[in-house]
Amino acid sequence: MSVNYAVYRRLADLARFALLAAVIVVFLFPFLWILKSSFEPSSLLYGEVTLIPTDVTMAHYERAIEIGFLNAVKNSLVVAVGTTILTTGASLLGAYSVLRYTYPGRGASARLILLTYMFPHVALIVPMYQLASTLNVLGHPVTLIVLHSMLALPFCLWILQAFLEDIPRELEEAALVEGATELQAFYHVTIPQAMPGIIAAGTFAFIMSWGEYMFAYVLMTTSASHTVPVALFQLLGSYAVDWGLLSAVGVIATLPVLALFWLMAKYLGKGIAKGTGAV
Amino acid sequence: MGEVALQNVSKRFGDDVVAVDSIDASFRDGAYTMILGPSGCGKTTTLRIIAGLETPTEGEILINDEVVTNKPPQKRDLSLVFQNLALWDHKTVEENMEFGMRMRGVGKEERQARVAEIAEILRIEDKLGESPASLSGGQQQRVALGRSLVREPELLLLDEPLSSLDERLRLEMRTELARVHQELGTTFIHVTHNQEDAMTIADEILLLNNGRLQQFDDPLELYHNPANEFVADFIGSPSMNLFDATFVADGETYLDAGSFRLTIPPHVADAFRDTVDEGDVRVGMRPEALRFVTDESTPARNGTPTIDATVTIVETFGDFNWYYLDTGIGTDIVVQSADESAMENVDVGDSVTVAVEVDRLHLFDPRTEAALL
Amino acid sequence: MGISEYFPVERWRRGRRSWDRRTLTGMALMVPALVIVAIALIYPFLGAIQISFLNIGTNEFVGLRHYRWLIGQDVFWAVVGRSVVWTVANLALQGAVGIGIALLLHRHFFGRDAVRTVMLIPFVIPSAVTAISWQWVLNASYGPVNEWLLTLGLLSTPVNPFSEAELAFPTVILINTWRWAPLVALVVFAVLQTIPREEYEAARIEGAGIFSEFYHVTYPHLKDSLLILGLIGFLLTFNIFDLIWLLTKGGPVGVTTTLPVFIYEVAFNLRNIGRASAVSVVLFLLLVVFVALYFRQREFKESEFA
Repeated sequence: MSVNYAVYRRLADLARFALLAAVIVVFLFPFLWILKSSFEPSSLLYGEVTLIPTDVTMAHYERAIEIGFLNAVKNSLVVAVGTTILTTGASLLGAYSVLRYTYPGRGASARLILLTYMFPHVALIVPMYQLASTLNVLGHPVTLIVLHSMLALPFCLWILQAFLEDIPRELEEAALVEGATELQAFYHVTIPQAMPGIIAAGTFAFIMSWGEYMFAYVLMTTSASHTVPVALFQLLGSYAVDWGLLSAVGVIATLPVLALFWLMAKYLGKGIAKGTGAV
Repeated sequence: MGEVALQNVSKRFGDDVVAVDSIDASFRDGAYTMILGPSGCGKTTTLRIIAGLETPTEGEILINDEVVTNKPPQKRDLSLVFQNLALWDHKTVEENMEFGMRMRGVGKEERQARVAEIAEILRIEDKLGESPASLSGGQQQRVALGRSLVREPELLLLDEPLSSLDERLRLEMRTELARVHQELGTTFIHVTHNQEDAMTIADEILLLNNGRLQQFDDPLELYHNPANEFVADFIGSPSMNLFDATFVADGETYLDAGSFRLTIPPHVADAFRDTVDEGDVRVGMRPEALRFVTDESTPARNGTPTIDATVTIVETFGDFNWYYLDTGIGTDIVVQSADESAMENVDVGDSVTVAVEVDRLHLFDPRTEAALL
Repeated sequence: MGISEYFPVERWRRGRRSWDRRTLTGMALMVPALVIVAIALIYPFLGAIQISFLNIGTNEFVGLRHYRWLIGQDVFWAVVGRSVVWTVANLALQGAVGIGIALLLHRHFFGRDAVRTVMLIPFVIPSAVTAISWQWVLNASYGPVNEWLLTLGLLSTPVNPFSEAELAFPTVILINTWRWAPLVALVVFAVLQTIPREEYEAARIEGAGIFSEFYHVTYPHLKDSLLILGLIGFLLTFNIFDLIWLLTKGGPVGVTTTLPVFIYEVAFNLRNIGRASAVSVVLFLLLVVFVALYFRQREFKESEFA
């Protein structure tokens, strides 16, 4: 019995590892494939399929820089950083407001924000385009920052609400009793205590903004204002498809978010779990 | 100066929860006052009202004769030690302690000097650079106390500061609190549910139940002259024996409990007749005011009333025992005895006789629960 | 004393002010979030409703004409049906894969934290890069998948799944599942971590096998989280536009055209923004009805945002 059980356990563990390995391969394969392709000379790309490139070149990356893709990276950084700051700030204050204050319309404003997920964003394009051209802000990063903030806001609010809920009220009250004003207590106690949640919300907002395509495509009308996903997709249509270049550009487009994610994975994971009410 | 007065203070949450019900009390400057009561009696709410963390629904709070009812906590010169300590673990011990002075614009050098001074009194001077999270429970307690004391507030509020500590540490910190209070002379108002803490170190005890003030007196007064049945029952361990009886005064003066009578000896009978009407009463006897009557060592004094009973349970504490006696009235009568011959001889199932000290008898009105005698 | 006792003006003023100040602070803190939503959602949302009743060329009011048009369109109903299939299939697959992965991770082993981090990468990669890399991986002429399937003899001729009418929709669904399942796995894993070990030990002592263990111990803990996740997932998935558009633009022959893609097409390819807005409003109403039914069905815990 015990021998059988040990064998069974060993087999179950093996099966578990095999399945997990398969899952990881499937999850990583597409990105690893363009990573590989981005270093492969075009002559090899369109030949026999090999897992390891037999020759390596930087030509695709040189070409990506030549066509000015770094400008798109710069645009995306501006928009994503702006979105991160705006969303994190607005959702931190909003979550604090809902948690610590009572006022008429509190529940209603909170529910209003859920609307964000119910309305088809495609339908916002035309009115948004009209508004932006009236205000003469088409192609201006602020336009996109506001829209991306709207998209990231509900989930960031959930994340921060969950983190703020975990801060004992007494920590702030202790600051008040020691002579701090409410604002000072918020600054000296609440913000440092909520920092893991703030980082999680910020990371989420950045990733979301960095990858958003539709609004960026419609509202960033000049090619000088194109963000990464738009510039990337422009390449797919405008040239005779150059997969080496596309791969290199895809890698460049992914690296900033991947780096950020790698640094903040711990916080983001916890933030998503808390934001969805799992823990 | 740290004098606090509550004038007719009430606090309601919503429409039907009355946490604090028309409390009038003044706390003496420099005294160590305990607010005592069972959980949910409104003691923490009272403390938070004094601190300014809650606004009373009715009534006024005065600190040093100034009305502060609507002043926020940061404008009252007081500090509060929270039940969960509320230490900021993103700051070091030193940063925790100097925070109040920082908010008041005290210079860095003076802050450091004050923190060092208090840290030494509290014996945490070698922990200043550490995070509170890395300290032991007792050390955290000292840091919280230090944070509150370092800027010398006129008034220190403590919300169950000892409840999270284990028994040994609790006793140690209790003595420490008394020592610090003596050294600094600050007014302390300390909330607790533990009557032993209150009895041992408080100058005065404010006893609350269901949001109402029951009695506000010094500890011995609460013990010897409880104002009502609740106070009598709450103070003292084991609790006072309480049972129903009828007071009869027709020639003979006695309390009729049904299965036994307590005859009031002639020398106090007049006092009883003068203050108590005939009829139903609640009788209270402290377990330590009862003693066994045995032939050799403790004969019953002439005229002292006695009760015959059977021992049902004996609980041993080493230097004294608790005896649960069945007298036929439905509830056990508890006797605390340190009498050596009783501890040796009295056992479960034995028939015993207990003498009652008449001048330590308490009588309460069964309807109002107020003390009659 | 005197008159001030009957008219405690000072007291009223004091009391009111402290009430007002906290109320105003609370409201003020909400303002930034509300401004964002007002500019980027409420305003254009009302604009879309307005446009759905207008002829956008002439700006004249046309009443319910756009709505009547779409009710009469077989295409519209086909697209609604496809959107439902899209959403349900995605949620079912993501749920199954996500829960499966979470269960695989449930036992502690060396490197588990690394696996948990790495598996989130599909969610981090921008959808445009996702689209390009899958197109390249599944490329009929030079992609590895076709090559390997041909070598293994599973295919006789190379296939471009994005241009085959039967394959395109399932392929897009699978890629979207690939993108979102890690997130489900993360959340489910977090819930699993909260289940006390003793519950499993008790179940094992009572003789439960793997399946009854899942049903009697794991599932009851997961249920609440799955309900919330399901609601958010439903709304998000229903409204997905980017990935579908980037992979297939709704083709071939419209087999991957879900409602958001349909709206885009009607608005910008058929250049009828009024009709597109009418479709948007109907989609919104469908989701409102869905959410209302969902909330009525389920007693949610007291949460301000959910």
